[in-house]
Amino acid sequence: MSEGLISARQLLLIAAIVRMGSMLIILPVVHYGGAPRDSWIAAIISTVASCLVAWLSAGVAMAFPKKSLGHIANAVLGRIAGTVATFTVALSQYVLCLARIRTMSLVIITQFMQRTPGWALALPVLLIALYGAVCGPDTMGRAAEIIFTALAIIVVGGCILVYASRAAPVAGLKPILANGLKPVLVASISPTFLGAVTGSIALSFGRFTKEPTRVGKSIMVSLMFTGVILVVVTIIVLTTLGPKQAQESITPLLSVAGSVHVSTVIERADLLLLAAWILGVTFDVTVLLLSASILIGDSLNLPYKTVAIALFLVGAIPVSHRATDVFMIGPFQSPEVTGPWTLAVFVGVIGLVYVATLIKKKGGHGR
Amino acid sequence: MRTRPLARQLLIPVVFALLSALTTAGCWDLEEVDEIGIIGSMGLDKGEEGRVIVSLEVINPGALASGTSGGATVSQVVAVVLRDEANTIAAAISNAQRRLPRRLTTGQVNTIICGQALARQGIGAYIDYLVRTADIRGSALLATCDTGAGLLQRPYLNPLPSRTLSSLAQAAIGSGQTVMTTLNEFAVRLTEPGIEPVTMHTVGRRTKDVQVKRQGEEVEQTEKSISVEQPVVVGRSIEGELPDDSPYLQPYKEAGTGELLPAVTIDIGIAAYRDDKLVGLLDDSEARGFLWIDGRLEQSALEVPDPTGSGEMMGLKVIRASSSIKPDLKEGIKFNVEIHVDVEVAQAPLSLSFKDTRLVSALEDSLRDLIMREALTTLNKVQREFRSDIYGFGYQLYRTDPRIWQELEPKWNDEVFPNLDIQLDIQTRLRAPGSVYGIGAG
Repeated sequence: MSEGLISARQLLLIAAIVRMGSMLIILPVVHYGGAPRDSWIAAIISTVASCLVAWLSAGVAMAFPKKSLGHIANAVLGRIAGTVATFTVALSQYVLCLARIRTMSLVIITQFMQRTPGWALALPVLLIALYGAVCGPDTMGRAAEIIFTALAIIVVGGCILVYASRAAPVAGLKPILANGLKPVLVASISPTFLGAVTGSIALSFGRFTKEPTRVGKSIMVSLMFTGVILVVVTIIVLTTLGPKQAQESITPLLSVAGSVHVSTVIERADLLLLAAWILGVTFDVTVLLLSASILIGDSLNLPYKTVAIALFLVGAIPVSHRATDVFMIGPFQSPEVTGPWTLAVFVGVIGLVYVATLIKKKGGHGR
Repeated sequence: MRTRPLARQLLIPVVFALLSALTTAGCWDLEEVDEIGIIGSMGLDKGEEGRVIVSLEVINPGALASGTSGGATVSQVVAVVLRDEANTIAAAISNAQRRLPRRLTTGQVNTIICGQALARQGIGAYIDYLVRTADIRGSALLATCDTGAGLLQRPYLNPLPSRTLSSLAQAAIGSGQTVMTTLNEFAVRLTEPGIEPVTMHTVGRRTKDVQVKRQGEEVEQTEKSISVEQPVVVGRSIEGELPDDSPYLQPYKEAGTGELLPAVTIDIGIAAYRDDKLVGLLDDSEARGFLWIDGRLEQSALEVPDPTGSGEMMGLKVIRASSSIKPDLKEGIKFNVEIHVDVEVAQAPLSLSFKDTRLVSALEDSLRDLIMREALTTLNKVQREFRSDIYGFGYQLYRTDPRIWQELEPKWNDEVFPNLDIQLDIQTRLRAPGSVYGIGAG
């Protein structure tokens, strides 16, 4: 019986939406590192690095089919250490879920709807996320097929429109690596972190996958696909806005969309992309809330729906309290924060589980 | 398997939908179109004591929509021009808001016109406002005019000044004597190394004023114009704010013969900036001379002498033109500019037939000479007088060798660019004689 399960293709689409929703509009790859002209190289590096880090999560998920990290960590690390490991990953996803809702509401209320209070946007999105989480992974899988199609059409179509409609680009990508490789590596940290987060959903959604052996392939394909989009979008942003303007813009892709005139097709390409972003982020935070709920629920032997409701209630205040300025976005996505976070949680903790899994498997075969 | 009743299945989704609908209705930022003052165009002029005079074309969309309804002309105010003065644009708009019974909104600004006096002083701070304001689009057209306020009040073949200018900018590209610069492009050129901004230059004056317009005199004219059109007495009645002809913005004035004549003649060209300051204007063939090297010339009509020596002039139409700038760093710093131009014959003396290929070659040589002359004349002016690298030679050097650029950047515009060795390689091709080789007469 396949009720409640998702296919490998649906997992791929879910992961792709999560990654697109988290990075396309804010585009952290151009904001950091001090060499914005080379940020397209950082996008390529981050895609490769994301695949490497995400492979840890996918590997753990494939090693124990039909199990989530909540089960696996308890099995390979013991009850206490396993619970700590699971909670570390789950809370990371949960904090990111809340942070993304805040980011989205802050961008909208500061750039577009300045008299609207932050909570009026944040709470409904959290509410929608709760509803999605309560509906379960199978509903999310089916929704992903529709939402991904819509997003892909808007993003790809938007990029083509913007590229075709812009004036002759003044800014170019040369000189390449004029400031060396270090700033490029620094710029790739934040998008790598986002890729690692995307990969970590394999640890929860992997349990609901009909084809557990294809979890890794699904995650890798989604990361590479979204990586290509990230590189293309970054190049369009750089050559249209120029590296310095791109680096200074809060929402570079929206700035690009506002800088071209496409009235013969659509008057406001920026609003179309904004709508796509809202759709993507709403889906993204729903997946993160559901993923955190599954991990915590499995670790404590609780239904994930109950956990989701609890997380909703706990998150309602931090997601909306004093959501008035956008200055939190920068530090929160900076390499100083995301770098250690990636190393500690998505490399350290999941890597530990991965190694323990390998040892356990080897020991099992040895006997 | 037991299934839940339909009502219970629907309960949760309905509750979620209602809660979401209640909180996302967007009432906080609700704006009814008949309650807002849509700013279509913004004029910026130099004020007193470092202030800026901001002129705002506030559109009345209702009047625009009803202007031709049912074939009858409806006499309504399609736009009004508000004007105020402050140290910042934001404050000036805020001040102007006191005299308008609608909330001003900048989301539809599609043209921004900088007066020459202000432009020569520097517009960087105002560009910052325009880029920083989220709802002003980067695709808004940026132009330099004799007065920012002046052009706002002179619509031409279009009920709105802002639409007149944006339409003009798109159409005038075909003259090969101007460029269309958006706010975003201007900002990019301000931030990229080794390239300076240019904008369209417009003159919104009556014909006799255009005749006397030459570079160097505009600033003086601007001051006079502003003093005439600048009744900035804040807090008085709105009538006191407006010049006589501005409230109803008539596109035409009726001449004594009954013929409808435009109230204004608009001339165009290119305004060259150095950083954020206007340093000079390029008109007519000077503007085209810039565009040959810049590579943005799309169309133009050229006049060259008949190569057979008849003394008559021939007309040529540019089909396409392109250029590429390549630095040569082998022996010092040189630049090679390759220009490719394709033309077709638009007008020729009756006796000529272009079946003779020698004539084609001679005409291409003649065209090459013309382009060389125009391009070098402008290049010389820009290098010696403007001292502003509006072509982007420095940018090409930066792309090729950023270390050399880093050394030269501080003295680029003042010392290096004016003495730069630039070689032009012009390739012309006559693609067609028009629709016939000749008329066959003579």
